[in-house]
Amino acid sequence: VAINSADLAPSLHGDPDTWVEQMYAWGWDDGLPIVPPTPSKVEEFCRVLGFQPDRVVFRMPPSNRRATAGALAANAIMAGAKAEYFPVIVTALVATAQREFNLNALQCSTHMVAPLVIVNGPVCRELGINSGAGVFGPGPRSNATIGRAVRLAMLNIGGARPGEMDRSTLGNPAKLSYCIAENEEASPWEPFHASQGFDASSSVVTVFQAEAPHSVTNHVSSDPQEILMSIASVMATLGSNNAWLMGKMLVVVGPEHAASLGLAKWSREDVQRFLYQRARVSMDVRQFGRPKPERFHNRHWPAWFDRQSSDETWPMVTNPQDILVVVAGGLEGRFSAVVPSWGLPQPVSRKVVVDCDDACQIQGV
Amino acid sequence: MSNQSNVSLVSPLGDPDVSVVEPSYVEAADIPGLTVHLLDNGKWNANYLFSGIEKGMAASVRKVTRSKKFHYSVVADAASLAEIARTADIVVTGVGDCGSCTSCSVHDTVELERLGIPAVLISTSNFIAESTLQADLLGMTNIRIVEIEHPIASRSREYMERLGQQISQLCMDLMASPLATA
Repeated sequence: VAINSADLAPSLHGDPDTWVEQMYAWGWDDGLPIVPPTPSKVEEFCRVLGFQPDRVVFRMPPSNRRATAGALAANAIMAGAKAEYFPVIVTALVATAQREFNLNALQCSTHMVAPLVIVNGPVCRELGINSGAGVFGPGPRSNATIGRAVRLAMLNIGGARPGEMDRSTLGNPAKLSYCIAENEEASPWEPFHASQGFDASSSVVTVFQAEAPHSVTNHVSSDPQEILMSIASVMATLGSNNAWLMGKMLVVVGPEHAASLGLAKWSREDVQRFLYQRARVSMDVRQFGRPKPERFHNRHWPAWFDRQSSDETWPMVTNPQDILVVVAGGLEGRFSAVVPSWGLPQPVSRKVVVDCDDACQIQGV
Repeated sequence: MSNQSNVSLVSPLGDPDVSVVEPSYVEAADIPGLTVHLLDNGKWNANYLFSGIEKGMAASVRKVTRSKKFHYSVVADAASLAEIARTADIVVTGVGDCGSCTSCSVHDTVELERLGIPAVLISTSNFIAESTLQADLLGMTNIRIVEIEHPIASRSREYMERLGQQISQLCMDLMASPLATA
C-alpha cells in the first residue's frame, strides 16, 4: 500500500494552530472542521480492505470522477472515522453507485433528499453503531462519522456542492450525517436485512434516499391499530414526494410501539398492509379540489388509481412492501418516525464488503 | 504530528479522468434533409414545449421524431442514446428546470455529442449555471443551450407550445453555427 505522489494535495505548513483554517481554504469541508488526511492514515484505512490507494472503486456523479480507494479513505479520515469503520463506509458508497439508487438525482435535486445509511448485523455491535436512544443523533462517533464520510465523499468526489451542482432548495441537516443501526434486540420481528433476503447473521448496509425523520407521537394507545393510525397520519401528507412519485417510505418504529405490536402478534407484513390501507390521500385533495379535468396526468401513479374519483382515497406507495419497517430508538418513549423518500429511486442493501475485490464489482469505471 | 511544521495530505477529490468533448456541427444547407430527434425528459409542460418545437421544425427538416425518458431525473440509458444516435442527425434535449433533471439532461446531451450527434439542451434561466458547470465536469466546455424563462411548470399549454415554435429555428441554427458566433 503506497500513496502515489500525484495524489498528494497541498501540504499543511507552519503553525499547527493555523491548520484547520488552511484546510477550510481548500474547500474540502462540509462547514465543520476536518481531520487531516495524511498519507499514513490513508494507507492504514486502505490496508483494512487490502486496497492500493489508486485503485478505482466506481465513478461518482454528477462529476463522474473516479472514486479511488485513497480518495474514499481521505474523506473517511476527514470525517473523523476510525479505520475499522472503513468497510461500512465503502459498502454504503458502493451501494449508492448502483444504477437503481440514482445517485445523480440525489446529488443534484432541488428536493432535500439525503442518503440515510441503515446498518444491520453483528458489525453494529463491533463498531458501536447506535441503534438505541437518540439513534438519529447526535453521535456516537461511529454513526456520526460513517454518515459524514459518505456525505464528504459526495461533496468532494461527486462534486455536488450546495448552490452549484447540489441545487437543493432548502438543504437538510441530515446532509451532514445520517446513519442509524436497527435495534434488532428490541424488534418483535426478524431483522430488517433478513426481511430483504439476507442471512440474519450477516452484516448489511442499506442506503435510502431520505427526507429527515418526521416524529410520530402516540402515548395513549397500546392497540396496534391506534398506534399505526398515528403513523399513517404522518405518512399521508400531500407535500411529500411520495404522494406524487410513489417509491418507498420508511417507518422507524420505536421500541415501545414495537413491543405493543409484538405483544398483539402483529407481523411486519400486517403493519405494512395496515399502513398501506390507512396512509392515504384522496384524489380530490391530490388535485387541490380543482374541477376535474378529463384525465389528471401523472404517469407515476398506477393505472388503477381512479383519477376521477373524488371521495376515494389512494395510497402513498404502490405496494404494501414499499413501506420499509425498521425498529430503532431507545426503550423509553412512545415515539416512532416516518421517513419519506425522494420517490422513484430504489434503496439498495448490500453485505458489508470483505475486501477490495468485493468492493470493486461495478463495471465500466 | 504537532511537532511537524509540514504535513503532506492526500487529495479527497478522486480522479477526474475526463476526455474533452467538442460539439459536432451540420451544414446549414443540409438541414432540410435531416432527421431531428426531440428527447423529452418528461418534466411538467415539457411535452407542450416539444410539441411547439415539432410544429416549428416540421416544414424545415426531413423528419421529426420524439421520445420521452422513463423519468426526468434519470440519465438516459446507453442503449436508448445509441438508438437515437443511429436514427437521428441532430437532437434537442430538455427541459432543464430543476436540479436533478437539468443534470441528467446535460449528461444525455454530452453523451450524444460523444457519439458524434449535434445536440442542444433547453434549460430555464435559473439552471443555466448548473448546465454549464455540469457540462464542464463531463468535459464539454461549450455545450449548446437554448435558454427559456424560468419556471415552466406553471405555464399554460398555449404558452409552452408558442414558446416551442419560437425557439425551434434557434435550435436548428445552433447546430449549424460555430459556437463563437451563435
